[in-house]
Amino acid sequence: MSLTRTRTGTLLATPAILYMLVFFIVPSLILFAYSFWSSASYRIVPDFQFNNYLGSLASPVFWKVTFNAIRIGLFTATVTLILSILVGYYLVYVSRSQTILYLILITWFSSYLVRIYAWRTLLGTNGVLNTVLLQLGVIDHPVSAFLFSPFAVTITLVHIYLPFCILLVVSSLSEIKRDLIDAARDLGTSLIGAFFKVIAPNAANGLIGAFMLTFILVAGDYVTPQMLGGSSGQTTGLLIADQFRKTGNWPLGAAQAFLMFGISIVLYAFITALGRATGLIVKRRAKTEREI
Amino acid sequence: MTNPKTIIDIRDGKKVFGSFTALTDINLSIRQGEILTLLGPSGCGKTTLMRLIAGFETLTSGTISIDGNDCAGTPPERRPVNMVFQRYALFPHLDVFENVAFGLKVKGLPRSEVKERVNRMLNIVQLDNFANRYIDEISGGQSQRVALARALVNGPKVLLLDEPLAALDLKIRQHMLAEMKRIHAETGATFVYVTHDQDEAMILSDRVVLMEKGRIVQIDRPEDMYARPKSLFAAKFLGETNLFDATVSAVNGIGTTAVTTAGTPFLGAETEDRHVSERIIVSIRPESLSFQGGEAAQSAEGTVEDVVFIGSRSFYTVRLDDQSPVRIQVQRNGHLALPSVGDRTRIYWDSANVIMLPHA
Amino acid sequence: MLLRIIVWAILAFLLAPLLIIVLFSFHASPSLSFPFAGFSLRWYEELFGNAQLASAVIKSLTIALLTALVTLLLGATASLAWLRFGRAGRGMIEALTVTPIALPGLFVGVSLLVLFAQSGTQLSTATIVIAHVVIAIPILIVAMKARLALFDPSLEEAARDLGASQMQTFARVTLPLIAPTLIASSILAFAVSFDEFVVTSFVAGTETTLPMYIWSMMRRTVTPLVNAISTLALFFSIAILVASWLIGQARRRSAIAGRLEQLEPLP
Repeated sequence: MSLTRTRTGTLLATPAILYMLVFFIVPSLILFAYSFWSSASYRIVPDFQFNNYLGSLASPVFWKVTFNAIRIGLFTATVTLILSILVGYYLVYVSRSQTILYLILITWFSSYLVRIYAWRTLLGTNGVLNTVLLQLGVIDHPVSAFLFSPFAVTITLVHIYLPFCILLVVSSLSEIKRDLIDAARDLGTSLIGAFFKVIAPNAANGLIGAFMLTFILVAGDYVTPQMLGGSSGQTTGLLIADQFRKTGNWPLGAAQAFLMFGISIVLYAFITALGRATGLIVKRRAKTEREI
Repeated sequence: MTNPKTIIDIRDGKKVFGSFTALTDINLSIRQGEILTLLGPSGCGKTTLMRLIAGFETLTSGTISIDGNDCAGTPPERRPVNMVFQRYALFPHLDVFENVAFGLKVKGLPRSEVKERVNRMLNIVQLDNFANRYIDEISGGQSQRVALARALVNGPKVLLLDEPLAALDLKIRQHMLAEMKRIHAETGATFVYVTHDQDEAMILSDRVVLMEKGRIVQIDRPEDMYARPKSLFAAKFLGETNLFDATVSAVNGIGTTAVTTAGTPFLGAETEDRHVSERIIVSIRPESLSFQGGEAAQSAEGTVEDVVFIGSRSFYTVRLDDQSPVRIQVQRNGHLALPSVGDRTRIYWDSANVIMLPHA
Repeated sequence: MLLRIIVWAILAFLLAPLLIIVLFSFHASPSLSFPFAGFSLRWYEELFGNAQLASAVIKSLTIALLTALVTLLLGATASLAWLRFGRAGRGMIEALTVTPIALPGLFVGVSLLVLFAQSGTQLSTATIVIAHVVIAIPILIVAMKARLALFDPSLEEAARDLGASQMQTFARVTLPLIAPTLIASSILAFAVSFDEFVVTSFVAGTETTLPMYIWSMMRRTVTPLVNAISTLALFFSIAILVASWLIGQARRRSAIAGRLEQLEPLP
């Protein structure tokens, strides 16, 4: 019975697995292979050389935009996570408000482009923000720096990825029972103390996951920087996208994509190590039978 | 009842999961119309044995036959047995009627027959008025009845029940036990009942199959298993008992005498298979000990250490002069003077109640 | 309470830009700033004569429908498989099907672009659907995982025990039970596909979907015309979300309806 069970299962799993192998794994591998090829005058030649990687690493432009992407990514992810924790904490432990949850879902599913467009019109020279500030007398001439700046990019990215991050945080906090906070407070910690001593260590993996996911998605977003970043808001994502859309140097774009991927992994390792060092992440022992 | 037919026969059954032997040396004949209980602690293999009969698992070696037919390779849907699952496994997308009708419908029976049989079965389990309720709209006890009806309506040769009362609270559990006996009598089906609860086994069964670590250790009527356990495990698992390490000092026509390590002699009625200086365990139930005894009774002296009153009974702990503690259960009735804590007392027992068990 | 105020402030931050978009889509003047010059439907009227827009909408609806169907089929079989697997099998399905959710659309888009280029596949509606399924499946699997965790495997055993074959068990027990979540998730797949821009921009070739049309307009002009399209897209997304939620709740409501028919009280 259990054998036929597994056999039927394998049969049923085949379509989805095959689909993902062909259209997700294989393309990723081809992209990886591409990163070692070379490109000469708009023609892509199969090859095995590291120039795409070495060239990118030696290029000041690459480092400039990558540094920008990491800075925007880290800053956005940090702000997003903090806001998400506040909302998540409220939703899980204070009020199980369905209304708030649905409002968040609605923003999550509202069009990506519409949201970028919204911020573009809000922050423009003739935009809502400038006109309101002018009328209030806070400023005497329109501030053009709202738009086409790291600030514009960051606030838009926070807006775009906050709903997703909130949902991740809510799901990781949901696994921690309210009793734990009550117990910690009963034992004499403050509410904020209870968060850092009880919730954070238990939810650490989920919270770091939410942070990293937000970081990766933000750092890889190229539409927002293109629409709102101007020249100072350029990021690696935009650089990579342009290799594929404009320059036509696909191997270079592929290499830069994998460099970005590598940087994300290094960053993840660094943040996890930091969490361990500060004691926020407790290394868990292997699951005991009780937990299973 | 003189020669009841065997409905399920298991020969040399063995089941291995990877490196874990779940069942071994299983030989069991289930008789038509009886309530047979598979009793044992969790992990003893009783549920696996039931799932083997239902067809959800297959034997590693040995045979199972149902009504004379070897059913190796027969999938669960083609076996003439039905199961009541531990948490009922009622279909939440169907109402009570549709749940009960499920088995008949997949067999393609005509609508009118399905309706008639389901209604008759709902009447037997007293759920006529709940036919259109959904599963999340009925109580635990009612769910239990639906699960019974859903299985029994198919007219199974054997009904398998996997700890069916475990999810109910104590009061409903006792009521459902009585219901189960009534439904058994009314349908005449063979029940195979899995439980870890000795009380359920005692109340319900015609025969009890006691299991430990994948083996059957004893098959007996409940009263015989209680009075004559064949192993230390059986003595400990069913009811409470006093146990003493002892060495056989004499075997003769009257019985076997064994002396506990603390020095108190016990004379047991059994004479077979014992030899002098064999190490054994003496078991004597708390209710087999008393503060009064006749001429033939054996006795020992001690001091009362503790008394607990539970309703009409009292539980005493007496420290014998050889320092071993003994639990005694007595019925309280007015005209008998019972000792108090600190009193010196003498306790009595009959050789018929001394059970001698092989050393584990 | 302070936290409550902060939470509602965050929600205001999330919702205000969308509301302002909607507000200015009704603006009587082409300006996108205060003072508000009065309400008008002129931008919506302008949209309705637009043939390019109409064809982009039809294209997007077609793609979203196909994406939802393919995702539904792959998701249904994967869900049935999930119920049959142990920890290791589930881990494998999850690793393969959920990972794309953690990657930027850019990565998925360029890797599919190189696949299509390398295999000589012409970019078309089909390649867009293929790409959309890759990003829709993770969302469906995540949603199904939560539902399947609550699925009692003994229900399938009970059906088999009562004489149902494997196919009958799927048809009469497993699928009816997971169908609401499955359909709700497919509707989410529809919504994701309808709104998808980043991946599409790499694999669309000469095709124009609605987001791509909006994108081209956004880059050209900043007028309430874009607001009007955006507003329609926004309400369409909300409608889809509500539909998905209602279907997810269907089983609950049928139970409540059943209770209403049965007027006698529970004992």
